Amino acid sequence: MRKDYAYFPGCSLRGTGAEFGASLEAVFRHLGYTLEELPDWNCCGATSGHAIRPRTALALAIRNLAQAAATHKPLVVPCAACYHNLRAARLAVEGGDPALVAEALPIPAAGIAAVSVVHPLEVLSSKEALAEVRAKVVDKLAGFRVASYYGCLLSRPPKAVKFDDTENPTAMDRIVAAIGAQPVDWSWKVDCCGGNLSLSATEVAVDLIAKILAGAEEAGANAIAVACPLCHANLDTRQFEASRKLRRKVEIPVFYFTELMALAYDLPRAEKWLRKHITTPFPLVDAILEEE
Amino acid sequence: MIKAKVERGSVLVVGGGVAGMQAALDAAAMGFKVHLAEAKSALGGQMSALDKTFPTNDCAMCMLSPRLVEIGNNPNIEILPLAEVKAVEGEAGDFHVTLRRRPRFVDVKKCTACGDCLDVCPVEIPDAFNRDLSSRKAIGRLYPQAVPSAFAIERLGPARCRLACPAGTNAQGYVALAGKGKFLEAYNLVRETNPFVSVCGRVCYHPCEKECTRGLIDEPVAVMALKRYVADKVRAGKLLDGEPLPERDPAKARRRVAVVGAGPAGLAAAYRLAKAGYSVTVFEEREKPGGMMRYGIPAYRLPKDELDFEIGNILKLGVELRSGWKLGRAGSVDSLLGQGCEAVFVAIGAWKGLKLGVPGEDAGGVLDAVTFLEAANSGRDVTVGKRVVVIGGGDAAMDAARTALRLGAEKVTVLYRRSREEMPASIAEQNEALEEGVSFQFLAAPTGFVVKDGAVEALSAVRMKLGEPDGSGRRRPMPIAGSDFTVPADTVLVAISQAVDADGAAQSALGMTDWKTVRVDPLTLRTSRERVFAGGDAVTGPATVIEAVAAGNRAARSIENLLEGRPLVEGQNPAEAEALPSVSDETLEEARARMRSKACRQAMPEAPARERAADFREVALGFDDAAALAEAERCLACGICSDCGQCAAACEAGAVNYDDAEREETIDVGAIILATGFEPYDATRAGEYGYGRYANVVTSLEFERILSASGPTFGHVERPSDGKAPRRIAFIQCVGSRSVTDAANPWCSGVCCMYSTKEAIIAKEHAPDTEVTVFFIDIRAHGKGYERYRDSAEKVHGVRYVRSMPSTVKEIKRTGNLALRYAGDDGKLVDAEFDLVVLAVGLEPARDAKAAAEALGIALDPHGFPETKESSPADTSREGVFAAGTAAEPKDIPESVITASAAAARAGELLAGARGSEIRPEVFPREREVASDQERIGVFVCHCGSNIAGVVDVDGLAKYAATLPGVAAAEDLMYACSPDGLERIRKAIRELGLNRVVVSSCSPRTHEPIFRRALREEGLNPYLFELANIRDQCAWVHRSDAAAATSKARDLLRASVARARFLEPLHDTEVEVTAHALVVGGGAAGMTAALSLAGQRFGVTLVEKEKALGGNLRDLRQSVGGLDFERYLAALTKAVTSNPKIQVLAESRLIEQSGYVGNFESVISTPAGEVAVRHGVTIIATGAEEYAPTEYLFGKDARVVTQRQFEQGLAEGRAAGGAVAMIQCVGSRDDSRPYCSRVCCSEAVKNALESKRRSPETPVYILYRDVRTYGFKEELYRKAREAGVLFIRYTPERKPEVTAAGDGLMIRVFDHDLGEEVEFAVGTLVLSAGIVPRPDAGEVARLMKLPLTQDGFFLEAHMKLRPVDFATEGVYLAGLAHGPKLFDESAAQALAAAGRAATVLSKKTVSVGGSVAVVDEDLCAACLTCVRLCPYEVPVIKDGAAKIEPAKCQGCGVCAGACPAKAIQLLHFKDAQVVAAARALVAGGD
Repeated sequence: MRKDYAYFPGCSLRGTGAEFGASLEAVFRHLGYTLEELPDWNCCGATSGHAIRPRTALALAIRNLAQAAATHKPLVVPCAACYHNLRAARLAVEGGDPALVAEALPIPAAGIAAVSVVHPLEVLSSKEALAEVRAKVVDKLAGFRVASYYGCLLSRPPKAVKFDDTENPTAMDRIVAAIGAQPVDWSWKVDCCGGNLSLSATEVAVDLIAKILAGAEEAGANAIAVACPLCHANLDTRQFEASRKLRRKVEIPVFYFTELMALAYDLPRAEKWLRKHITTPFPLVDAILEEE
Repeated sequence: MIKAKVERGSVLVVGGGVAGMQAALDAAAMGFKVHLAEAKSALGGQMSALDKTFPTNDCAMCMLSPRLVEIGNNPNIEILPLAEVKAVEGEAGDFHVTLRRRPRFVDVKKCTACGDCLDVCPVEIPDAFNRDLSSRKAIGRLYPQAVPSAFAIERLGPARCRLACPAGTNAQGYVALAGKGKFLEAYNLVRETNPFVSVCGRVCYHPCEKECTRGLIDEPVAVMALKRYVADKVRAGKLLDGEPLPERDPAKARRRVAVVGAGPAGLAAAYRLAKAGYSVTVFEEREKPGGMMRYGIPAYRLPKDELDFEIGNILKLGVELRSGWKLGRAGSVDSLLGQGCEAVFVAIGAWKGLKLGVPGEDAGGVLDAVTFLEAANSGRDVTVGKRVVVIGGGDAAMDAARTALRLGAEKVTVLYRRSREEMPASIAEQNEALEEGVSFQFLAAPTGFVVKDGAVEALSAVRMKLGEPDGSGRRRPMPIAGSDFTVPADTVLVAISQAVDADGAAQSALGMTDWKTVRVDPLTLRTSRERVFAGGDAVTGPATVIEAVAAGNRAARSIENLLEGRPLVEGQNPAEAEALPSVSDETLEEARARMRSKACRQAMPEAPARERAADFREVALGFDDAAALAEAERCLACGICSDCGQCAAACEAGAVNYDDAEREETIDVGAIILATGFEPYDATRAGEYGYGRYANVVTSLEFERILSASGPTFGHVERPSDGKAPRRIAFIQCVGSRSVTDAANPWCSGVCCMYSTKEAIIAKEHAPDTEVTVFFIDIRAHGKGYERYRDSAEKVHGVRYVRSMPSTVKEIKRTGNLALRYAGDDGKLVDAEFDLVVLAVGLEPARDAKAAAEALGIALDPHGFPETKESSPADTSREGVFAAGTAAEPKDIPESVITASAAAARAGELLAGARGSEIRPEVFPREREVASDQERIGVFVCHCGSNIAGVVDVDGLAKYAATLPGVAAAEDLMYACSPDGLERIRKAIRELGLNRVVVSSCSPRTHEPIFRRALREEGLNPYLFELANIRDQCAWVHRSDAAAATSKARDLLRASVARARFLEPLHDTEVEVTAHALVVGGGAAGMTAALSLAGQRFGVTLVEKEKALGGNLRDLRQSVGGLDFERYLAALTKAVTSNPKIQVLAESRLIEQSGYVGNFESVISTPAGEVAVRHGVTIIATGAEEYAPTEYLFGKDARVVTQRQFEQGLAEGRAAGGAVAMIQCVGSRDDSRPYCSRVCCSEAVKNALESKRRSPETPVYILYRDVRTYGFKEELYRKAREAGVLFIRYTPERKPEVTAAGDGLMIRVFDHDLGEEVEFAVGTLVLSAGIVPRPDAGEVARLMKLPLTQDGFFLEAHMKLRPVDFATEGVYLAGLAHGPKLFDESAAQALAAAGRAATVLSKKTVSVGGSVAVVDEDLCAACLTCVRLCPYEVPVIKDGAAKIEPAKCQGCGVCAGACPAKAIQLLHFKDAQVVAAARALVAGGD
């Protein structure tokens, strides 16, 4: 089983999703993985760039792939948007229009096609990896009923990103089960959270967010796990507006799945990361972990 | 026309669904021998699982079942179940076919379908017939009416658990039996390979669990714990105590075998040999038998009484035990052989504990674990110190440590040189030891002992680290320099390994390996000595009980072989030869889906650690009933049949045959008809709808079963999650169809709109307040009568149709309800909740279609269906191989039946010269004259296994029958229908001179033909038979009241006997057939039919009213498939007019027809005067015509044309002149013509595409209501959209408005997508005018007394299964006269009509008479009652009285019942016969 990877943190894992980056790095280290940060990485192209100048977005992504090719390691990309963009660029290199690619970034394409872009969920959900994930558990998270939320960027379009079932992915659910929490099957795991519309068309996003939060609660979850900084931001920070929309109070903590793993492994800084959340997870975490 | 060099008179039909059955029946009736190969164990195909059928709501099974019986009884159809085509060699007319026949494991000839096996089979599997919504047994049949009715066993092979067991113990089998509470059966099943059930239920290392398939999904089944549960139940219930011992053959009993060593290997061999009948003596060194089981394993793991019980059972078989006998000391192998033993099995174990080889090992307090355990387990007084150290990491080390604890040690430490991960002791034992307080020191090895006063004081040791892997694959421990330490100890137990304990002489007598174990041949276990065998630990070194047992079995088999003079290896599989079957992902997926319980593995309850460590009570407490049942249910039954043998034991007919195996068969045939059907689309691929994930999302086929009275819920509509009646049901159409994604198919499946409509109606009929919503894209009700049917669903039944596709289904967890979101009529999103969602899944090529195509050597189209020709839709790319039904393209049942008859016709053309050459006419003895005889009735009462005899007192009934008037003989039979039962009946007829026979058994529906046949074989008229149904109508329905059932059986039998006294022989008259056909109508259908008939070597008269042949084809230019009609018509006309067998009468009309099937006489008016034609059959192919529009300025403005005119213009290269608009449904689907003309959408799309091809820039608009491009024509629709054709939907409420302007035609139409009215100008307006009947259709109908539909098309005999027949025998229907259809469909129907006609023309004679109505002319008042009531329009009034032509009469009896003057009698059901039965029935007989 491969344990050394190149690593693309992207802007969010150093900024708004810093707790995702920190918890991910800690958990991977704890499981014996090495993550080598991609030298001189740049924006993945997921900012407004991909809507305004798709070619620039593609060029940005391809440059990252070229950097990764030099490491001769698979590239772990945790942010769903980065992952999505790099995979899409990868597909463009492999099966797309070579002229378009050449035009996007005139660098030697050699090696780029061989770069494998993987998501941490993909790395940790293999049968062998799961056995290790399970073996290291110190605090079983029994009592956590977790709705795993994958959003849209990790699941579609299937041609570019497929590593799990498009409509019913289970990689995160399997990890959640391996750390002793109870995965909750629910219907909204690949629905859109509103993404960037959260700022530009808040009403639309809140509508979507409310449906997802209500769906998780209805399915009996007391926590949501995510693997994308944007999903986290939307689900975590909009619960007040969502409650207003639903005309009832919704309060359900939203964790990065790596934070839950850190809790299960009793990693020292886990609590610090959780303090960054807007919807406080502490009543739940304290109630369950202290019971033991 | 096709011709073959060699012609064989036989046809192979591949596939036994509705199409295959039709093709087989037709081909057989044409005079060909038919081999009907079906992949499943019975015929019936997909139709057998349908509830009702559209548009008549007839029950599917009620229609199918008589056909099944007809095929089953047809002497010229050989059914080949479980058969697939492997290869086809040769050429058209002379094929050499290799078939793969899968094993049935039940002898079809012996099985009587009594069902006794069903009660005993312990394996329940999901019932595929019920779409896994209920369960069935591993043995059984697909459905009750299945033909062949014989059962079959679903058996994949040994399960992985069984293969993983060294002794091959049938774990799946005993787990299944345990789950059914069959403890003794389970126990005995284990004992077939292992006499130590209880022992291995407690101490086995259970490799079975490691390989358990369930373990690949979650956790393995607790196989060992279930074995113990079985053993405990057997002991506690004293189930074994009354068991009789097997009888011994004295000759065998004189032969003696010696076994040395009473451990598991020796005793297993002794058990097996004793059971085989030999005399066995076991020589044992120790006081008691059991070996390591007794002296090695402590009682807290294996209580001694359990061991005593099982050894006692071995000794009970007559095995003699001599204890205190040690090899070498008491005697040698040679001395045993010298004392008359013919063979010796040496199983002396490995009892010598190995030494560490470090200084101080001889000190007091240091001893080896074997010696220690032996002493402790013998009950001898053993003392241990306070601080005990155990060296080693195996099971023996755990046993020693835990025993020491129980003997009072205060601190027990286990020292092991590797880490815990490498430790060989079982995890469970490690954990138990830890719980009890044993501590472990890993990575530590002893270096010596600190000895004081000759006694050990402490142990010196060194820390280890793990280096590179060694030969065993484990990492080699290496000492860490300078890490020495000491552990204080006053007892040290060394448990590192064991060796064989035998003196030098004994060793050299046997021959040893370098490892100091006995050297043997691994396959036979023979030593270097001829008659001496060895096994167990003595050969392998210390191992496990089950491995020793396996060795004992192997040695016993060798010894048996030796004694019986067979080669030693016979029946011996190499130990490790059978590799475990790998489990594919698909299998696992299926297993996952099949998982009935998601329950986790049950935990074994244990005595509390603190309490149990104080004494030797048993630690593991065993499962209670609930835990055992739950655990047994976790078994996936991955071999399906578990080979438990219960059915074979229960089958009194001896029909079960486990040795059945796959085989190849070859047959020679002249033609092959492929009718392998379709596969429903796998809805899990449409993940967005959550099928397989949400309980209440079902497929349409599942819903079909849920609706069905024979389904999993017996016709109560219940949803799967909670069994509640769904109040709101949603249908989602086009699941898997009409899609361009990889997960679905591009074509339209053609039937889903209608079956959903049917299911919606039936659901409403079940519960009228159910709200049913159908979500659809286009409703495709393009078949005959379908539009009306759909309209009635909406208007009469209240089904709601919503033109919108929900993109996803969400489950509301709390209620199990489903949330759908869709765009409403106004384009706004609507959220709706439903209790049940039905996915209308499409049709795909059969799963093995590709393999079948390869075997048959035919080409497939890109969709995976066989390529066929438009003008001859039954022909595939290989001559002589034809395709029928959905194997060729998705289609509904009538079209499947049509293509089947068409395929039979094509085969008939190919093989016309060999017709009749391979069928054998049946010859029966001359009939005995009986009418004047005194009646001598024979009564036979059938037990039907226990089906009847289990409820009704059969013996008593037979005795009672003997007392009834007229009865000459009465007896009871186990199975009257079995070959020996039938022989008894025949013998009685022969020897006792019986002249009437009554069988009191099951249903005449299935069995009457069999018994009638037996009568004919003995020269009795078949009508002298009577059947009393005391099974279906008595025993089965009155199971709970045996006395009343017996009384009713008497009544029924008495009635039958009374009726039998009045039975009369009936004779059919044979009338010669005129082998000539009359075809009315010279269009495409008429000409195609005529050519096929001529090709089958029958004469044809083709009557055409016009001067030229061709009909509508003359006005058409191109088919939707691209065929050039002008060229095709020219060729077709030439073929017809130049064929010497075809007489064409142009400008002619049929003016008179009389006669009946086989012998019609017609008068044709021709330009040359009237012509009389004698013919055996008539085909009506009078066509239909294009509607002449009155709307949209047609006829008023030259720019408005019909679709047909537009096509002609395109063909002639006339420019359209500006934009083109087409309006669909002109003259169709309105109040005056409420039917769909079927062809217009495809024609419009085809012509639009052609217009785009010629002039891409010219805009084309198609104004439609539903786009009905069914089947593969959906591709044309997609291409049209891609080519830029604009589709605008309109509704009949807001029809488009057309106004003429100077420079164009203005079209105004409300666009539903935009939600507003649009207006645009076009240069040409094309009206898709519908198809209307010919104005003279009514005249033809009257002339020939044929019925018409409300719409004026001819009405066939049955819309589903007889689509080309009229109710009047010998008259057939083809082409547009039947209803609107495309060219290829007309061609298929024309061939089908020719095929059906050939079934009559092929016969030399037709039988007339039998059970038909006869008129007493003296009584007849000519009141016309019969004329009006007869559904077949047979009676006519002639010369003042009704005349009923026996050739036409169907024997339904309607006229006889209704005749006011009682002038009509139905033969075989004459008043005297019926009244006698009724009187006897109510008379009471006791």
